[in-house]
Amino acid sequence: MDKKIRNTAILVLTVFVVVAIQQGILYAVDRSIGTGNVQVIVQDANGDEEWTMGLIPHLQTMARADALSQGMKIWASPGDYSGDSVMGITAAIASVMWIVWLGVFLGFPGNIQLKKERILGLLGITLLIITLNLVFLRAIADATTSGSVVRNTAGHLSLALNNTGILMAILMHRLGIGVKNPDTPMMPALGASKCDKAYGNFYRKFYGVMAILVLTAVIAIIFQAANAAIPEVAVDASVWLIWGVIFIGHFGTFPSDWKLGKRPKGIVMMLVLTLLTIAGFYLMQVATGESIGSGVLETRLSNAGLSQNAGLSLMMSCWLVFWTIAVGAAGYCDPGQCRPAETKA
Amino acid sequence: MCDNLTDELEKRTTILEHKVRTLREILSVVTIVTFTVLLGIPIVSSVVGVGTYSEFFGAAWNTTLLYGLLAANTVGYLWSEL
Repeated sequence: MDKKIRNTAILVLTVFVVVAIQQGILYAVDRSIGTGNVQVIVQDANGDEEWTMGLIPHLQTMARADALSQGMKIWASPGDYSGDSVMGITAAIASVMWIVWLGVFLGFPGNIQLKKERILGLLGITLLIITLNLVFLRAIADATTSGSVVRNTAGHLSLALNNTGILMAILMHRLGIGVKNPDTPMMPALGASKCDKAYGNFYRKFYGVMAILVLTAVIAIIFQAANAAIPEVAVDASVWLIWGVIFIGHFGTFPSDWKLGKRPKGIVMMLVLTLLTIAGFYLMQVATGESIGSGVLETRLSNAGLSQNAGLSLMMSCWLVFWTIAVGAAGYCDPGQCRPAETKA
Repeated sequence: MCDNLTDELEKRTTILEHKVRTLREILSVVTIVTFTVLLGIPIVSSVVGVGTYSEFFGAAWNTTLLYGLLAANTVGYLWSEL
């Protein structure tokens, strides 16, 4: 087997193991609160909330009815940490973060470079994730009048942790942590080659980005109209837009670039693996009696007043992002031999 | 084109190239953060209950992060020399 493909397979499996551990820990925290209970912020004798350094809340678990009658501020309800009702989506975002951290940033497993610098970089990023999230949780806590603080801030805590992880990794990388070639940005450069360089025209890329943003927005609207998306359009659309940009970064700006070399095979693999992942999560949902939700055909969602397929749009877009990066790491974005007219770079 | 440069000049050009590169990266990060903040303001304000249409936005911080990722990826793509 091709060494690159084998390495990517090892990477993807490692990512899934790490994600299972991360989500498992958060799921255990969720379950430890207990059904019908909530975590509230402890109040002192004067009725003020207790915070360490203004950032870390003092928490206490109590029955929801008691918390509401005493007017306590609810920090989290069961499910707010791991998002077990839409585990397919939270696991997708976690997988994207870990493939970026391990595969793109560290070069695991075949290409680990600048180990010391990059591991220090990841420690710095971890510190940033914790601080930034605590600051925002505190800010939203003060504005929260109904619902739980964690839900108002992040939807599910794991989403905010992993999204901060991806964003900070990209920004730190751009600022030069562990960078070998400063011309290559982190995410979209995986499939880059000299052939793409021949197209190095800012306006071509600009029109490409505008076109793909419109196209992916239309996809998001179709999912909304088909009642297969969450009502928060801003969240639902953003992941489709991000996937669009990552897609043209990997497979080329316009459809004429998508036909080159190994790319058609890569695009098919990306789609097939995405569908297989969604099917896998659906099977897991059936097997666990919906204690782990996939967001597709889920009665918990319809009980909550949403469509029972409300997670489908985000499942598609998040896993497409993941598999685009994975297929890129496996070398399926390679445009192959340059045509004569393209070798002017 | 650069054959007739002296060693001294070549050295200085390399240093300059390096500095330009660093500045460019810093500028791109500033661009990303600016766009994130600009996109984040309506989202955060609508979630804390100030804006209209707040029901179409998700949780404040998370939605801001998502648009940060969009800005980072788009700027990264446009700013690359691919």
